[in-house]
Amino acid sequence: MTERRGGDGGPLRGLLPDLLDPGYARAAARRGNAPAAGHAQVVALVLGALLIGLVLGVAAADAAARAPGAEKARRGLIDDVQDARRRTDGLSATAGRLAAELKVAQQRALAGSANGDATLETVRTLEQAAGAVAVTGPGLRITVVDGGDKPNVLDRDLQVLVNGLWASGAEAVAFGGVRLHPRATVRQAGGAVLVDNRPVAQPYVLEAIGDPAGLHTRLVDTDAYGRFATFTQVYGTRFTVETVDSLSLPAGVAAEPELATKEGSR
Amino acid sequence: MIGIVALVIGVLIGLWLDPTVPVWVQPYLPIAVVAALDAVFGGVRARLDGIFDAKVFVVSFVSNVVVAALIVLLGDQLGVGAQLSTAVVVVLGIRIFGNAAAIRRHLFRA
Repeated sequence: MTERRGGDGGPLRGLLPDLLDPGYARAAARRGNAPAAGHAQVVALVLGALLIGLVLGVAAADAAARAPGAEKARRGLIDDVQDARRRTDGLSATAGRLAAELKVAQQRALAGSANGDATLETVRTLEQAAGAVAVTGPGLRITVVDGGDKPNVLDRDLQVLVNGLWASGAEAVAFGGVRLHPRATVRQAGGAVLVDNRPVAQPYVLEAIGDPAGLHTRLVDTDAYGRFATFTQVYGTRFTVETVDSLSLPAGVAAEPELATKEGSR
Repeated sequence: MIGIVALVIGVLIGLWLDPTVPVWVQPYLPIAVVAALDAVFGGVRARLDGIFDAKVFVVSFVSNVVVAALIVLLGDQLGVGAQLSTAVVVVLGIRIFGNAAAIRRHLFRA
């Protein structure tokens, strides 16, 4: 390690003691330590500096052209998503307004006659069963928070929990603020849980209207409760059930029938 | 001085032309950039030491880029292209640092 092999030595030795290209010193020695001069020098300097500048400029332009490309695409997508969300909000507001108008018109057309009152009553029952109207009442609020860094609670567990609520006698259920109607689904797409095709983030909050005491007692007996109790112990999932005096659940967006048509309309 | 002007003009031309860099050149562009910076710092330091030589400047830059590109090309063929790119960047990076420190000592005497 102590040997010296003169000049620029080995490649690693060349790295540390003198970092200047030894070529400069040698060229200077050849000239007898006089400063380099002449036209050739100027031409070489200009050409070299131009070349280096060109490399730096092209690299900068290339980097600028590439990085913002991805960034631009990302921003465009975000804008699209926000637009779509705004549109959805606007459309559901319109749908709600139209539904209210429809209800008023229905009321006006049917109320009064005995036959109409009975029809109205049937419609009301069906609407509640279909989750098409907003409802309020006492019930349970269940909060599920996944512990750990990777998701342990999957869509099928949440499906079991929702079904457990129905089986325990819940009259209306909302998941993450989305009312569950008979055709609503709870499923997973990538990391997100979709409730009736709308993404729901953690903590998962399920609200169920029903007799709180009875609902709770029957829920404890279901598979769902056992499953989540196990999750609490094994994965550190937080699972809380609380009784709430007054829950208000929004109306669900019932899917339009695609093939079923009203009798006589065909 | 004339070198700095030429450098700036080169950068502006590069930015103004904004050529589409072919995909096969893209892995070598960062290495060329580091080699270019090494040449610039080396040149400035040599200038301050009073031993600047434009021929050495140009030849060292071109040969560094070519050798570095060949090393990375070889590495790509052997499947260790990324590691060899890192090696080239480390070696040239140390030189840049050392020369920048030498320039600093020249300018600020500290």
